[in-house]
Amino acid sequence: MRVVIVGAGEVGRHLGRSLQHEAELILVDSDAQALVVAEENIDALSLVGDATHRKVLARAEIGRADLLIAVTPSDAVNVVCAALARSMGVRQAVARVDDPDFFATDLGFERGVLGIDAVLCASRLVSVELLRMLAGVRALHVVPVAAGLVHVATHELGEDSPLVRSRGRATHWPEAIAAVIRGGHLRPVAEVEHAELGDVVLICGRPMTVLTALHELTPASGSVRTTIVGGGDVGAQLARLLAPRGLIDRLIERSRPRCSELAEQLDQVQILHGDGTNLAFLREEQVGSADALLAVTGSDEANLMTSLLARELGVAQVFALVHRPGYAGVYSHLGVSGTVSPHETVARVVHWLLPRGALVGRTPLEDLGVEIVELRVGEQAARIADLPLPPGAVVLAIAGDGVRSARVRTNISPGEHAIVVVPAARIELLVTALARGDRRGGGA
Amino acid sequence: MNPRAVARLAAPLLALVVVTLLAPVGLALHDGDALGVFAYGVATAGCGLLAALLRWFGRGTDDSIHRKDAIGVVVLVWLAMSIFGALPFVLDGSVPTFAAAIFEAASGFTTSGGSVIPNVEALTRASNLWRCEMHLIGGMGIVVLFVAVFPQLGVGAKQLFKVEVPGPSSEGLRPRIKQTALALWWIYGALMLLCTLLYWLGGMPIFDAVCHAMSTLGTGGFSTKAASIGHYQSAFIDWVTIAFMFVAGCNFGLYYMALRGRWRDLTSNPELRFYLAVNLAVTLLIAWAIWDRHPDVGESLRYASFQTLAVTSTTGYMTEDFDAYPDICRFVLFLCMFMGGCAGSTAGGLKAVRVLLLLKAIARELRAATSPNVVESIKLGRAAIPAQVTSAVLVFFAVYLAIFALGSLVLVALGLDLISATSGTIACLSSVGPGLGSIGPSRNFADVPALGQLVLSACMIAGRLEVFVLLSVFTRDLWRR
Repeated sequence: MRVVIVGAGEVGRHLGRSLQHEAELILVDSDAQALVVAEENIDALSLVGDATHRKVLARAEIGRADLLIAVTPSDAVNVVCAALARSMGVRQAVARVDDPDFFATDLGFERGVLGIDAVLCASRLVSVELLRMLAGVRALHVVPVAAGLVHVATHELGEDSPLVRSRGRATHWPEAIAAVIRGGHLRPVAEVEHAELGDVVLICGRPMTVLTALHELTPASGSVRTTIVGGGDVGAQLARLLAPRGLIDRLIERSRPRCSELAEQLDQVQILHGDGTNLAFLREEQVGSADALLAVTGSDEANLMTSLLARELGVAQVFALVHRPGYAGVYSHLGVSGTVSPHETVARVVHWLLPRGALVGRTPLEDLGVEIVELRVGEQAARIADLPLPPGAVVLAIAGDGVRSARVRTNISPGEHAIVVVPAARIELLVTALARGDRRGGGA
Repeated sequence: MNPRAVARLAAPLLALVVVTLLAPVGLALHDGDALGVFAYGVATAGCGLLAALLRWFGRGTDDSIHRKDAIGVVVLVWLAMSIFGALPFVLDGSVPTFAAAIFEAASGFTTSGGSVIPNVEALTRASNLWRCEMHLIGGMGIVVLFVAVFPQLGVGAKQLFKVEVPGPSSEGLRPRIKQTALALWWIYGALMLLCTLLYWLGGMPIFDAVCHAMSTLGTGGFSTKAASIGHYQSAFIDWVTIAFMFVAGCNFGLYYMALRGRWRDLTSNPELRFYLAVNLAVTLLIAWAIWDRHPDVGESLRYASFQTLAVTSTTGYMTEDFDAYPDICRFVLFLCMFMGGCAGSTAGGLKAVRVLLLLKAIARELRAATSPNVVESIKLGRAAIPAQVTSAVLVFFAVYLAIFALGSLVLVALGLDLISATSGTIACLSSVGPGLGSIGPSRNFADVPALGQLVLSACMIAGRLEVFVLLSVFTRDLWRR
């Protein structure tokens, strides 16, 4: 496989490192110095030049490449270069566009704009990943599937759960819940009439859906006081997602003009003007009483400092945005609950886009004895009944442009993925069946 | 530098040297040459033992390799190669001292071609094969071979590759460094086969043809005959040699581009044009100067171009003793020894591209003196050359001259005459081989004192590894952990 990466910044370099063993890499950047740095630890052919010029793309032999990934700091360059590459015969093109207003949906991921196979919004994808971290506070696991655009959460019903309290008559399951594990046995939700204490439910859906469902299932955890530090792209988007559902308390931003802008754009959020690395300010605003804090400024140093101070003040769950690879390890040493970084998030989506077999991803949940599996459907549309699923497996959802719940007769069109939960004991059956299918060509 | 990481990577490289040493062992066995089997067997075993020791020492280190480690590996391997390559010559008694043997091996691996053996025709076939095989390996480089044949080394390979490949910038031909190395060796091997075939058709015995082809493509200069290529007195062989010396002195990356259909790269390359122009000018000058020896256009051009290319491609073959030419020729050839061939070739020297950049820098400074407000950048073809590349070239030139001065100083102090000392030093530094005077083409380095031979060996390795790599061993920075 031949991959052209445009832009040798943090994201480009991280992609290069993660792809270099499976792909022949060509790295293009207009800054020769950046390429010298990148070459230190990436085995790639480097080309100096502006990738929006056809001459430069031709030199990279774009017509023979399988994938072009444009990840320069400029949205315009990325879009032009990806569209140009598509017209010059690259099989697949991916562009990073950070401006959320470019997108028609709020997923941070769109297909087919200007012929570009995937346009990614790093700040949006990062926000979504932070939502997953927040959901993780109230769940056993939250597994990202379909490039992180769909989450599968597992949650053990406690005494406060409204489902358990509605005993006596048949439980009205929320739509997002697709399966239940009771006593180690996995069952589709339709076969379970009554919810019981200790049931583990599997919730599958868009990140916000999952997060909201989890909050509804755990009313006893009380009100939610999430504080966001940093009103940049990521902070503003998180606030916009969380505010309508009352899941956010305050947003702290350092620049006063930006604060005014945010105050105009956002409702139901208290905007505070102040420095998140200033201990006196954080004390005065009683940040220590928040349930969770997200440090999402553009500066790694500020995020680290804010996270440490928040821990010091007694915030139980602290999450931070990390821009530079390698810093994530430092955070976990210092007791920060979780970190999210743009380069890893983008790399995960790119890896997900790469042509692979029918089995796109699998995540074992060992304590529950099940495995979450993502399946790609082949060239022809298929029905769920046609999938080579082992007995006991439950299809949680079908993920494509949207997320649909699945029944046996549901059709899956090409390009859609089936999210399936399989008992761990039977996973090998599925893997062998899929491998046989891959050899015959086509998907599941 | 992390000694364990160096040892871990140097071990398989030396194992590759062991493999190459098996060829003369095999030939000695085939010829029933007991002494040869012993001499090359001991060298093989010794090298193998060192490789095993390094492997043991470097066990358990991780895969990461930094630039400092890469320099350490390449220098260590080149030194070890010179020592184990020298061992057989001492053991089979073909050279009197170990210093002389080191000189012979260093001359082989750096593709210089200067020899301490007065009569190569008295050597065994195994020794002659080994001398030329050293040229073959040293020409493209042991590290490049290692990267080509060894499975996945990834980024570490790239670090190593950059240290060994000559030229101001080593650009890749293919996305993966392993593919680049493989492509270079394929081209190199194919050219060698073609050269062997032509030599054989020209009437050389097959063994001589193989040896000479390895020597020509590596731009070495060792021959199985005392009179070098002049032994055959064949115009066909001379012209074949001239052609392949030129081919070996050009950037191999261009051949790859040409094979991929980008012929224009070959014809429009500024370095290649410059190199060709210099060769043509020097050839014409010498042809004119030796007219009274060869009063025939074809003959005169044949001898003139042969000696010219023997020097500019740093091969060091001869069909005639150019030391007996008029002084103008001797001096021009002496100057040509500084330049050498193109970057990315198997030739040594400053490299044509550096000389071209120097000339352009001089021209720019001259223009700046008269019109100080003009802003211009140095260009090669249509590509502007960044200022730091130009200044790196200037520093390289200064260091080259400094080494030349120091080496000459040592040789003069040891009692050599001025012409022999200066020409001998530059002939070794640029890996040409024969110099002028008492170490001219018809003589050899046997009479140079042992210390002088060692200094010249160091010059050869320094020149082959582009000066800075070897010199950086003497900086404290490299040894810091």
